[in-house]
Amino acid sequence: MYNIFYIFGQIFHKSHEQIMTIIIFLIIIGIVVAGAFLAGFIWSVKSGQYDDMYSPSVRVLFDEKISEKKKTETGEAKDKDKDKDKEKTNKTTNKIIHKTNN
Amino acid sequence: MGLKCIHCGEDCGKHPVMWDDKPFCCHGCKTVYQILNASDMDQYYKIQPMAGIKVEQVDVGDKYAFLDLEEIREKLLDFSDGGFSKVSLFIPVIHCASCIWLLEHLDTLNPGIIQSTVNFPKKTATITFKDDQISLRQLVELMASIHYVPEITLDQLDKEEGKTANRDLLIKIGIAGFSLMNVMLYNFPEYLPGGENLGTLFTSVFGWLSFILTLPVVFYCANDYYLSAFKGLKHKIVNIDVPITLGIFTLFVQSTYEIITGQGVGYMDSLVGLVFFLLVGKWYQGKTYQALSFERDYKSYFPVAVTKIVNGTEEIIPLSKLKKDDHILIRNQELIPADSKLIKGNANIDYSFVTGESIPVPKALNDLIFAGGRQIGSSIEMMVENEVEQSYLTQLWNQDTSRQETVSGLNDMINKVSEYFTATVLLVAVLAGIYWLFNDANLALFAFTSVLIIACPCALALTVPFTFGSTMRAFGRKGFYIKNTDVIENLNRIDAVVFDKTGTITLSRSMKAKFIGDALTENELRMIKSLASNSSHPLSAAIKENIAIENLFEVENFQEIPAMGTSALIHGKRVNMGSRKFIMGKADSEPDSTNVYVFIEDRVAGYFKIENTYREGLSEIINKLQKKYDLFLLSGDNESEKQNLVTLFGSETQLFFNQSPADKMEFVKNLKKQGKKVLMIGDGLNDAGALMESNVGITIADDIYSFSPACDGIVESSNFSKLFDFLKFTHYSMNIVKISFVISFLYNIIGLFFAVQGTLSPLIAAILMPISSVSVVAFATFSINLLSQKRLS
Repeated sequence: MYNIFYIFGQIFHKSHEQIMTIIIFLIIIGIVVAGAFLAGFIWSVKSGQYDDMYSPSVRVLFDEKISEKKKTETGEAKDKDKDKDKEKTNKTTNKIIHKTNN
Repeated sequence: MGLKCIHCGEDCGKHPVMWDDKPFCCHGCKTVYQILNASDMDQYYKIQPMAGIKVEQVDVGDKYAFLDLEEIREKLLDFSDGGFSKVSLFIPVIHCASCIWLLEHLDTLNPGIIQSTVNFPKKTATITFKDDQISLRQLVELMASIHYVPEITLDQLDKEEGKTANRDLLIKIGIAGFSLMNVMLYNFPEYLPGGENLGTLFTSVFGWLSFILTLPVVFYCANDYYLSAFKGLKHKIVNIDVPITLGIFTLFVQSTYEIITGQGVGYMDSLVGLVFFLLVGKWYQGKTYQALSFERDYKSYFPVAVTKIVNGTEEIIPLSKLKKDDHILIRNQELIPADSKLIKGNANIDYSFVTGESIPVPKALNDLIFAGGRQIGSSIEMMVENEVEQSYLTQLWNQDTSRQETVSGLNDMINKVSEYFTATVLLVAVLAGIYWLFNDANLALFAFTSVLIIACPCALALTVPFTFGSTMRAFGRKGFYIKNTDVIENLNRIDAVVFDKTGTITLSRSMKAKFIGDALTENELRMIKSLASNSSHPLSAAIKENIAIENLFEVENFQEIPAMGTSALIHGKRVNMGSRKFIMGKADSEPDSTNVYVFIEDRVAGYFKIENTYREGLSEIINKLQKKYDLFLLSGDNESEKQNLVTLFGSETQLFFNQSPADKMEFVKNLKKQGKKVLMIGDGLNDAGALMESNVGITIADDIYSFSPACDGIVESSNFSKLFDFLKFTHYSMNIVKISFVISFLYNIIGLFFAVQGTLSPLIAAILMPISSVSVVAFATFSINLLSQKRLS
C-alpha cells in the first residue's frame, strides 16, 4: 500500500487505523451541530411558526406601513419612481397569488 | 353591461353611484371606499383590484349588542389583562391578499387596535386591542362596516384549542429525519464492497451511535402505531399497524443484539427509514381544509344571544341562560331559538330551515312554534316551552346514530389484507426457522427474524395515505371537500342515492315566475314590480326578480295581509296581488300550487305561476346516476312540483313529498336496513338527521364556510354537475390502491427470497425497503394526479 495515507503515516509513525479515528471525532461534532439544528427546529414548531404556512408568503410582499410611508415621502420625483416600483411589485404579487389560489 | 364597481367588481347597472369620479354598484361599496380613502388605505385596491365584498344590509343597529355582555366577552376573548384584550374572529369572506393586507392594517382605522394577524388557511384574524379605547362590540361593528363581517356563533364559545396534534407530528418527522440521515451515514460502509473489513473499533462505535440515535425514533416517533395496533388487537382486529409494529420491534431487537455482540451495525437505517416514510405519509394524508369545520353542530346556527322581556323591559341574555317560561322578543328575520308559544303579535314563520318550505306559515295566539323557524314581519313575543337543548330540532340533530362503524385506521379491505399478510408472514418465518433448524442451526434464528424484518407492510401502509390523500387533494381542487379518507372508501360502496329537493336540486335563491293571463303593458309590469318590492314575502321577491324594469313607482297605502296578499294605490289606481282567495274570493282549484293572482285597477289580469329553478346539469347527473344507482327523492314541500320532478327523474325513481326532517331520517334508516349503502345529498338544514344517518352525507353549499352540521363532505354548488365524476373517481382510487398492493407484494416476495435463505444483509434490506416505499408512493401519487387531470377535467 503506497497510498498517500501510508506515506503520511510513515512520516508521523501512525497506523492506518489510528489516522482514521479522527472520523469518529468528526462524526461526534457533526451530531452535535445537527442536534443543535434539530433543537432549533423543535423550538420553532413549538412556538407556532409552522401553524400557518401560507400567510407569511403573502405578507412578505406587502409594502411598508402607511404611517412610515408618510414619513419617507419627499418630493414628487421620488414618488413617481416609487409608484412605478409599487405597480411592478403589485403586479407580481397578483400573479403569484393567483397562481397559489388556483 | 355597465361600469364595474371599483370596490367589489360587480356591474353597476344603468345608474352607478358616483363619488370622486369613481363608479360604485351601491352605497354600501361607496361607504367602504370612503372609509378606506379617508385613512389613506388605497393600497387595498392596488394589491388586488376590486377586492371588496358586497354586503346588502348596512345598518347593524343592535345586532352586536350581545357583545357587551360580560359572560359572552369572557368566552370569546382569548386573553384580557391590564387593559389589553385579544380575540380571534372567524371571517369567512377573507379570500385574497388585499383582505390580509387590510385586516392587518386595522390599526390605521382605529388607534385602539394594537395589532392584528391573519391566518389565511383558517380564515381567522387575531386582534389585540386596548379595551378602554375600543370595546369588542365596537371592534366587530368596525369590521362589519368595511364588510369583513365576523361570524360569531355559539359553538365558538364552547370550543377548545386543538392545534397541538399537527405540531407533534412535525416534531416527530424532524427527529426521525435527523436520525435517519445520521444512521444512514454509519451504515454507509456496509453498502460498499469491502465493507465487511471495517475494523472492530468502527463497527462498535458506529453500531452504538446508531443505537443511541434510533432510541428516540423507536420510543417516541412511532408511538402512534403501537397504540393503534394495541387498540386494534383489543377489539380483536388485526389492522395494518400490527405488522408494522411487529416489523419495527423485530428490526430493533435483531439490530440491538448484533450491536451488543459486536457482530455488525444492525439494520437501524432500515428501521428509521421505515418510520420516517410512514410519518411523512401520515402528514401528507392529514392535510385538512382548516377553515371548513366538519364538527359543527346545531350551535353554529343558533344566535348567540336573545332578547328577554323581564317586567316589561328588554334585556339581552346569552342563549345558554334561556329557561322555560321566559318571555322572549323575536324581531323580523330573527331565528326562534327554542320551542315557544306565541303570546303577542302577528307571527309569520318561515320554516325553510326545518322543512325546506320557504312560504311563511301564519300562526295564531297560543300556537306552539318550533325552534328553527324565522319570523317574517313585525316583532312578536313568545313564551319558552322547551329549552334550547330539548327542542325538537336539536333533538333531531343530536341523534347519536351509530357512528362507530368508521373509526380511523380500520378500513375494511386494508384490515383484511393485513390479517392475511401477518398470518402468512408468521407462517413463512416459522417454516424457514424450522427448516434451518435441521440444516444449519446458526441460521435458524437469523432466518426467522429476517423474514419478519423484510416482509414489510410499509408499502401497504403507505399506499392508503398517499392514494387517498392525493385523491382528497384532487377533489378539493375541484370543489369537493371531504372530511377524511374513509369517506372515499365509503363512497366506493354506495348503491343508493337519496336527494333532498329544496336547496339541493333547486336553487334556493331564485324562483321562476311565469305570467299567465292578459298581456301586460310595461306600465302595468312596473306597477306590479313596485308593489312587490314593498313586501318581504319570498313570492313577492320572486316576482320582483323576474320583471326586468327599473325606476319603480311610489306606492301609497301599502298593506300586507299575512297569508292573503298585498295591496296598494299607485297613481290612484288600486293594485292587489295575492292568493286566489284574496283576489277572487274563491279558493284555488289547485290547492298546492303557488299562484299569485294580480288585480290591476278594475280587473284580474291573470296570475304568476311560481316554479322552482333547478340546478344546471341536473338532468345529466340524474341520467348518469340512474344507470348505476337506485335513486330516491325526498321533499319537504307539497306535491305541486311533482310533474316537473317526474320528467326529470323518470318513472323509475321514487318520489316522496311532505317529508319532515324526522321522516327523511327514518327513510334513510329503512334503506340501510334493507342492506343498501346510502349516499344522501342535501343542503344540510332540514335534512341534517338524514345526512348523519346515511353512510355518506354530502351537502351542496353555495357558501362553503357555513354549511351543515356533521356531514361527510361538501360540494360547491358550481361543481354539482361533476358529482358523477367524483363518484366514479373513487373507483379509480380503489383500483390504484389494489395495484399498489400488488407492487408491494412483489417487493415482499423478492425480499423473502433472500430472507428465507438466511442471506439477508443490511445492505439488501436497506435497498429494498426504501425502494419499495418510494416506488409505491410515487406510483400512487402520480397516477392519481394524472387520472384527475384526465377524468376530473
